[in-house]
Amino acid sequence: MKSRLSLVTLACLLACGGLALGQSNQNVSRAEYEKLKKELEALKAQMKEFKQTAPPSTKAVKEQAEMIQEQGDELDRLNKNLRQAKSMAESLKPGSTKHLLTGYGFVGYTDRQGGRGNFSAGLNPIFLWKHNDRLLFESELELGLEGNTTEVGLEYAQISYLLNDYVTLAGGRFLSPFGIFRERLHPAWINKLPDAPLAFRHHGGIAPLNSLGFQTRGGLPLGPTKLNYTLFVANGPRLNDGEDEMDEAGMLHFDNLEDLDDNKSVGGRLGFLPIPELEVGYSVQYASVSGGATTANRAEVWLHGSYLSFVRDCDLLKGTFDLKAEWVWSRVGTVTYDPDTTLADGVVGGGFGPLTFKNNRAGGYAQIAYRPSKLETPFLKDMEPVVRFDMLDLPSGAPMGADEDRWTLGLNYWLNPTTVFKAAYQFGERRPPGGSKASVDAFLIQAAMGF
Amino acid sequence: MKNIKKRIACMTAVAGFASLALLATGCQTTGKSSASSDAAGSASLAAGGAQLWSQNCQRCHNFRSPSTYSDAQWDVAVHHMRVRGNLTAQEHRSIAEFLKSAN
Repeated sequence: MKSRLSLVTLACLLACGGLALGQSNQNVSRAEYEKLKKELEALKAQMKEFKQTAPPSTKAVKEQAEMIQEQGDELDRLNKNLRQAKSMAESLKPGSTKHLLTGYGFVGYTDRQGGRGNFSAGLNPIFLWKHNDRLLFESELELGLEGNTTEVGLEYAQISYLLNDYVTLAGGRFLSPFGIFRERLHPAWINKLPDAPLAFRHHGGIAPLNSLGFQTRGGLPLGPTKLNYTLFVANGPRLNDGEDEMDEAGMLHFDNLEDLDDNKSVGGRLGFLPIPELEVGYSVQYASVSGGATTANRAEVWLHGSYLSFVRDCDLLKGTFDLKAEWVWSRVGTVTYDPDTTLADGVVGGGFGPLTFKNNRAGGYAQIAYRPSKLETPFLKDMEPVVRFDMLDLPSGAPMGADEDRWTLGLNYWLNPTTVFKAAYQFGERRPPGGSKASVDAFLIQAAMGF
Repeated sequence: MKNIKKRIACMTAVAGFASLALLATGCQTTGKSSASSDAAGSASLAAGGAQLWSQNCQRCHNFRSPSTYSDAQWDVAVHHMRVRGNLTAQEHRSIAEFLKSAN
């Protein structure tokens, strides 16, 4: 009984399971079957086709990549050559100029013993036009304050041509290549003190400042050493005969825009650099000047100058030393000024003459500056103490024949390589012939910016 | 001239002594690359130009950063300095190349 019941139960269960399975199976229609069959055949065909298209081998891929790389390199070379050719063509084309506006400005204050404290300011824009690799035009204006007026001057305006590696030709108005202060060191952001040395100052100095003429110059490598030279011819200086300014009788004025006596001045400078940090040199200038209201038709002028420049970085002392020294001698032939004693409004006996003296003048400076640029301390490394001694010896018989010498102690702070604040105190002494010496101490400050 | 010869001698002695002292103390210049400046390529020019730049420009003024000017402006500025400072042609080319590569 029990076994029959078990068998029936099992049969029922199997029947139910079969029914369930049977109900879950969907019958697939013929159309659907054909469709599926077709899709399967298509997939098989694609697989077969894919297998037949063999992938490139590794070697082929490499070769193709190398070919692409080579073509890319060749294209780069072509582009570079094209750029160079284009640049060369541009440089030769008339009108393809490059230009630069640079220059410097300054403000200052000077309080000198025996005088009144005065503020000063100036602007010197420099215009540079480079026509091509050989031709350059350079010009500097000087805008300053003189008395109650604004003075506009032309420091230089010259065209230069690089003839070859050793010769540059230049003509126009140029900074005098006599010595190095005027040509290289006078801009306010380069000069390490607020004023110029006595021998190189605008008023009362003895060295020429500007010339109008022609020069040839260049640098010559000599093995491990170097030579540089400048030769020039320019409108000659004018000898002040005292007719306009009695006090300036015997002084030379170099700033002639026209040659007053059809006699040019010639001169040159030769510099030698035995090591890169050291330059020594010699300058000379000759002119024959009109005597004007003197006994002589002409007077000969000889100027001589020597200079030394030594600038060296020093790891041991953690900074840069800068030593400069120049000396100038001026010799003017002996003449008699105001021989008829008339150079005082034409009144006989009212003039300052007849005046004769040996017209030899000399002056120069020695300066040392030190900047501890290798110190780690940010403020200290931008400080720069400076000491300068300068002097001027004038003929004792000249109307303004006071000798003068000065010690100047300065301290500079460099805000950046071309911006500097300067403060200096000058201990000066002036000694007129036959008179008592006078102190001309001064306090000077200046801010200068090169741009 | 009053004591002029004495003063000249004094100033000359001061300047000369200072120069000798600085030379004799064995101060070394800062290490700058001294690669060949044979102009074989702009890279060589630029490498030699760094040393020439440090030697020549410092004689008169502080160094302007190479980034101060563009390539075209450095061409003008260095040409102007060649005329003003009597640089040699090689110095001119090397310094210009260095400044243009470093700006």
